[in-house]
Amino acid sequence: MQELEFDDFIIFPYGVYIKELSSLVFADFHLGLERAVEEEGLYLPYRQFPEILEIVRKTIEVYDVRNIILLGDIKHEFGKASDQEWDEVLSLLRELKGYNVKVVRGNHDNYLIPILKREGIELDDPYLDLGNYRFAHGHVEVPLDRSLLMGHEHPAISIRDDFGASVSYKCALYRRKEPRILVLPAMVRLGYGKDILSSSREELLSPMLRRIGIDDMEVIVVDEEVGLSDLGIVNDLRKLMR
Amino acid sequence: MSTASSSLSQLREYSRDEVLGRLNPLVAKWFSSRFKDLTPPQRYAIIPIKEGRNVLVSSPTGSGKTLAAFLSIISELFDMAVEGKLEDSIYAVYISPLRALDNDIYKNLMLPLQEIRGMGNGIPEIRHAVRTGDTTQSERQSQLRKPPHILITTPETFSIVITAPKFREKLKTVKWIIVDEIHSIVENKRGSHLSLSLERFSNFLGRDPVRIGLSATINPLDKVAQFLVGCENGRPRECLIIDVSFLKKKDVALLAPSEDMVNTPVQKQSDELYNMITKLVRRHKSTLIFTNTRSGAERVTFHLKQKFRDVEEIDEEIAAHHSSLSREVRMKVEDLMKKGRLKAIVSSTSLELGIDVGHIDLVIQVGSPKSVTRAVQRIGRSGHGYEDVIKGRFIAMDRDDAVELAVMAQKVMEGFLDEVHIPEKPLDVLAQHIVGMALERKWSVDEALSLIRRAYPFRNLEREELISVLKYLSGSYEELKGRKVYGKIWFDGEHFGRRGRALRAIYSTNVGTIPEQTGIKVYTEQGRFVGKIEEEFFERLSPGDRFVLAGKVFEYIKSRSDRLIVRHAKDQKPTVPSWYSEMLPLSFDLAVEIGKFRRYAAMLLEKGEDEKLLDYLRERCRADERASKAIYNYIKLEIEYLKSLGIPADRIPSDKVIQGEIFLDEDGRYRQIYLSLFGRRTNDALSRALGYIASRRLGRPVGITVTDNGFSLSYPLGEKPVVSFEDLLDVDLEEVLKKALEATDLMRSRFRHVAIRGLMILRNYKGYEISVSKQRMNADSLIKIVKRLDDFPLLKETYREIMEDYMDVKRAKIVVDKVRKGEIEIVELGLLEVPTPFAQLIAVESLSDVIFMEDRMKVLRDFERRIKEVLHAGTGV
Repeated sequence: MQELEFDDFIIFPYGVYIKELSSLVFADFHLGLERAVEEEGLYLPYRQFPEILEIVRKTIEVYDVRNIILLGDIKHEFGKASDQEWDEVLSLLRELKGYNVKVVRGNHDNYLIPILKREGIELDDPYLDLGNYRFAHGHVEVPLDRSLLMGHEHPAISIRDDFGASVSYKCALYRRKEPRILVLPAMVRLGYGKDILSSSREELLSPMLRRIGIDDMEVIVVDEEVGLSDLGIVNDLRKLMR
Repeated sequence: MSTASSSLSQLREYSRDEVLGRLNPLVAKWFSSRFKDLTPPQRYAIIPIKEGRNVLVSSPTGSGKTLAAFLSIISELFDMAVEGKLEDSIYAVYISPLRALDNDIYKNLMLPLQEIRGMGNGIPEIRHAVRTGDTTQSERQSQLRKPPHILITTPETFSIVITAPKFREKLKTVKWIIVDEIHSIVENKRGSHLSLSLERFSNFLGRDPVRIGLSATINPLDKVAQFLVGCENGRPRECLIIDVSFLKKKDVALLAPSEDMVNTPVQKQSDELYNMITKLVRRHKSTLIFTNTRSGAERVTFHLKQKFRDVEEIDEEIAAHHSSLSREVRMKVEDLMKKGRLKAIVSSTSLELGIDVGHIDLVIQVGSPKSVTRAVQRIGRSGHGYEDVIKGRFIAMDRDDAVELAVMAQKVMEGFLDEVHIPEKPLDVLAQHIVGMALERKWSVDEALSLIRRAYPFRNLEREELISVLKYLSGSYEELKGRKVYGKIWFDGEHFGRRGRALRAIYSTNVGTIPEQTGIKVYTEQGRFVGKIEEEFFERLSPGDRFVLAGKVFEYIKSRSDRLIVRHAKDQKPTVPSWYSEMLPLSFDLAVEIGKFRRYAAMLLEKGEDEKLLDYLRERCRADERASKAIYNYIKLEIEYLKSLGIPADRIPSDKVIQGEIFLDEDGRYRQIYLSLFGRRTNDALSRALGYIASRRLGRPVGITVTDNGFSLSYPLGEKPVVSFEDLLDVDLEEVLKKALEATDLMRSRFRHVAIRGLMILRNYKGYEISVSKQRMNADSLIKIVKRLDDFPLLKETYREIMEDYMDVKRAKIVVDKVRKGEIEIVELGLLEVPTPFAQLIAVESLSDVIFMEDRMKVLRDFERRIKEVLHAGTGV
């Protein structure tokens, strides 16, 4: 499987493995998306869950896993959990029985608690500490006195060719210096995410990233077709894009 | 006078006495008191309609078409009224594509109905009413309680009322259906949609009401007639074709702002253009000016107003009229025009529909209208009375325009018309109607199939195609879990019917074929509206990008919730291709005629018969001195240039010669241009196919530019051309095109429109209008998902719509075939310092689209390399 090591993190499409903690970390599944957009008049086949499950399964086989940490936005619907969400979240948790599953609350995860309760899982809100690491969704500020792994931002990068046509890739953002932050790519199967190179600071979703800025962060392309690629620092890339 | 093979030979002119003698005496009396005589369409149509014959009337504006359609109907209604047989039920349905026209008709019927009634004693009222999306709830209720005898409506509303359980009972007595402005819907999906509504309606009635079609000039009439009346058991129903479109005399001329359109400064030409228009407007009482784009209409209006202000100190006599303006503004303009208070209206397209704007004595067409039929429809707006002459002036904007207009003017005088293209069994439209049918009752597949096939566009529908649509709508593509919410109908393999109570609401609020409100509005920083861009295009944009809109270059600054903010980027080149174009494509038939003309002109010049060519231009093409000289110089220049390369004059690009050339543009890129005079739709197919083959060979994207006169491939920096036209001879053009389309924005945008029409994406759900941003699901992922489904009908329809309606893959195949057979020659000029005169206009056009390989690996590797080179240069990394 494709992967790339960054200090103590092993990044793969689409999550992170922390050897020290025997933990797999994922973010932003947005299960139940299809049902939610149906309410808005868009009819999509229900393909997200089988594909996401497949990825998670494969990853578990590759690494030595004891804990599985989900960084929020497990489900999509802001309001009450839909049938699809009950169904798919429960199925997911049942598949992961035997592992220590931790779930950190994301801004979409309202009404998630009753679903988790069925499988005896507590919802960590707004963050979870494990070892020397902090795990959060990223939609609210959390103290940055230890290394942070977060989601929420759905980072992506758009590469232009000289015709102006562009191709998008999901990516991870890694801030090496203190405070250390790793922003995971979103697992959601629809779309790639937000092009972080063309986003202004105000347009960033996470208040922490807005405060600190992403200029010093490394952009790591994370793509199941293409693999992984460390492109370098945001600031440098922005210069290149001119 | 033409008769279709499907009509019987009773087509004849009836005298005034014959006609009036067969009508209700009051109606006849009223007619005599109002009109001197019958107009030609009336002489031919009134009696056949009275006898219950289907009729298609093709004639220009102001020829009394409406009365030709309505007189028999009104006469019979009055017969019934007098005999006390008039019930509270609908007897006639009038359908027109424009609400404004509906309002006009309503007013126009009001007077006759009142006056005729007034001539009798105690005759019950014959009611007529308009029913459209604008009709209020209370009006609808009163229409249900006391239905009008004549219902005036639109195609969309018609498809809704035939499904409405209570209202449609009132339609059971309908004897006549009139479809007005049929020429404006037959060539698009609105027409396909209506044709199915008509068949569903006949099926509901259990009989076929009389169908009356009213059309402006169009060709071929027999196809349009078949479209109107449909088929029975595979054979077209009978229809009388009344073609009185050529009886008016024509006075047409071609003008140019200068005889050297290349070297004369643009400003001077522009000034002269407006001088010419102003002079013409002053010399006539009221003028209709057509441009080809909305921005063009705005510009011409602006400049005309200036001129009028400068001289006459007034400018309120000139007004613009186009679809970007609000309804109030448009109605005000129409009203002023009707009252004769405007000297000129400048329009881009909307006045093509038959709104009554009073007497027009001159039509000016700025730039080529791209089809002879459209030209005739437009200039046919002039000369309102039947005796008046049709007067039109074409004004050329550049050299190619001049050549196009010259041939067009000639063809207009000859009575030649290009053929209309009727979309072939669009599956998204079918999906909508299946939902409508399911709402009515349960159907068997065979019953539905035989009904659908009665509609002309669907006469060749395969059973499997219907099944695939039923599978999609019933959610049969899904696993069991998702099925119950996804499906709108139930389908068990043999029968189908409705499912869920929301279905009726979904249907009535989402029916229709025009992807309304799509597009993101673009504004300048000062708040000035520029135009609209497609959402897929917006998805590609980043701040700093420059693109072309409304003929100018803009730079993208930022986006707000539903709009794009830009600033003018004058004199700068665009950085991204804008494939979204307002321009109409040149019709293939006309393109071929233009090719023939170029060949002929070259031959005359080669033989030294310069004067003969000039005479030809003046007499046959009605070109003025400047236009004649401009065209003459243009062709002469091309021949001389080719001669200097050793190419004889008969190898000039024409209907028999495609010319290829290569040059290095100012950015250092190789451009490969093919002058292929077959119209943009055909060239689009050829260029994309060739561009795909090129980009496959290179593993890199290739840019394409498409115009009516040819196309060009733009190679990435450092690459040389790797294909030639001959590469198209050994491939399956359709297969290659399909692959080429997969990665383009065009595909994504069209898929979105098809998905909306096919009710996969709703515009309106549970009473809420879906905002544009919500509709904007990443089209990439959507298409990726449906591609995995076997034979998904909406995907199939997207390809069909692009390849047959937007492009012309059939004609492209014909061209390639002719090349293969040697009937069309490819002349390759190789690498040139400077492009030939004919190619120059293509050379300066910005990119239409990019054939993108979607080789994501390669794009990333290229980018990594760039990073190394630029950022780590000099760091020894």
